[in-house]
Amino acid sequence: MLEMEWKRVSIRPAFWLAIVAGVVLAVVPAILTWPQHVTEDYYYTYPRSAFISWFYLEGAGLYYIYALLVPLLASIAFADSHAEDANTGFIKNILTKVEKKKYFLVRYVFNFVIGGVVAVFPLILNFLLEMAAYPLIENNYYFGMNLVQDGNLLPGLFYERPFAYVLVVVLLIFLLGGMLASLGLAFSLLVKNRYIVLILPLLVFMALDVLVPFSHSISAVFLYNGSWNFAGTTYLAVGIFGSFIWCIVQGYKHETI
Amino acid sequence: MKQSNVWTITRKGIASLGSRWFYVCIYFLLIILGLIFSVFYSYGSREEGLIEKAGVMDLVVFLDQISGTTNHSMLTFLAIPLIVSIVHLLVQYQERSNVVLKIGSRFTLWQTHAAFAVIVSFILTVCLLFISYVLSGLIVGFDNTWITKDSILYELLGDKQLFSSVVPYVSTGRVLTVVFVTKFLSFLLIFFLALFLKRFIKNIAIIFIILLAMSGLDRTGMVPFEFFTFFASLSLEDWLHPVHIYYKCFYLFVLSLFLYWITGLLYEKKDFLK
Repeated sequence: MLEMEWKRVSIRPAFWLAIVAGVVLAVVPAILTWPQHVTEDYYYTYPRSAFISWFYLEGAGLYYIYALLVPLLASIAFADSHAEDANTGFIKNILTKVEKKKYFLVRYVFNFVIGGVVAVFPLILNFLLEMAAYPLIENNYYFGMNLVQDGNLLPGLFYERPFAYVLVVVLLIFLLGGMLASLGLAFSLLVKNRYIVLILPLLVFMALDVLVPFSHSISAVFLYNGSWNFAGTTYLAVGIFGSFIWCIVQGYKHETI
Repeated sequence: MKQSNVWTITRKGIASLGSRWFYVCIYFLLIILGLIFSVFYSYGSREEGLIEKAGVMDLVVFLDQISGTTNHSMLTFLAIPLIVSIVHLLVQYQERSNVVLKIGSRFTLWQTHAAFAVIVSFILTVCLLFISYVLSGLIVGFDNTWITKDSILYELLGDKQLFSSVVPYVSTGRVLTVVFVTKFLSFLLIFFLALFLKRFIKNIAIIFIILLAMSGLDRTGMVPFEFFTFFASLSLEDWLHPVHIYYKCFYLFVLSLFLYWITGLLYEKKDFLK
């Protein structure tokens, strides 16, 4: 079934649209910060590094648009797949060959991974491009590289092991993307309209963002380099486990399929 | 088709959303409450003493063009999601084969969409203004602090001598009228833009991506001029130079009119058999 899921996602225009949007969001900031009119001497002194040029740490410009679009990009890739299957009746064909529990389990995991991958794709691509433009020198607090401070996520790690820091950020956003995609999937068991399913994670994301104080808001914790607090753990726990339990229990109980 | 039929079908279109209006109201109230409190969160921690001077107008239309219940954040977090969802449901209902056959002409169908956009924009604006004014007033009191020197407006004014020239333009009635007109036109613009895009794109998630990207692009200042939701939001500069507000209204009106015209033309060529 995993193979079938992969084949389906690889021919979905919405998935490729999300990837293309990710490419634009990643490439444009890299072009804008690309070093120009510099000689080799520039790199002998203490130049800008790939870490501080990463658009996640800049937090402005196209990154703002990326942060706005993350819930949509994560869910548009595959979150409406169950609604589509149920509406077209394709689910009946699948369930003649696969156990219902396995179907929902595989669908949940695959959707989670695809949502996460689509969410982190612009971040990884942008970092790779910045690596092509700037050297990977150690971050130094006193050379204009103080982008991560006490109120931000893991400042110690950023200055001591910057690569590990990048991995932690990517992992967190992967979990965020996966969680939002899973929310979309969970909503598809309640709402028939597949287009509404796609936008519900965005509405939840926006409502949480506006209602919760900025330091604990979902976008500050995951996307704007905020310090990790109980809110982040709560979002992930409720979003991932809640949607998982909902999908498995509700999907399994759903006899009308 | 008689003119009155446009209104009958529009009324049916509004009623067709049925219980969904309940969810719209819930989301509407949640976001408005969130936007009111976000003014306290963001400015309470940033500048000491400033937020204590907050009055009802600051919560309704803060002077930074972003915060407040009727500024850029509202258009991004409330207006775009709500209007695009409503447009999707409307088109789904109104463009079913039996409704299209009953309407009989493409022009009338487009007229019903446009009438729906105008009516719902008007209702949304009235509700937005009423709810945000009442809720903000209940939290900080209904006094208009902008006309006194003990206000955020006075604090943020670089040249304090300008204060006396601003006061006549920031009376409660004037501010609410300006907010009403700009927001009504902004909602109308988003409606027509969503209807225009819906003509080509079936998936509303893609329409969302386009509108949110436009809204984000407008705010980041990467385009040398403001053109969308950020332009439709009000800042201190606009109250200092009220002629800016006229430009904004004119721009929003002309753009809405253009979209009405171009989408009408596209509807004239729409093939409902496909």
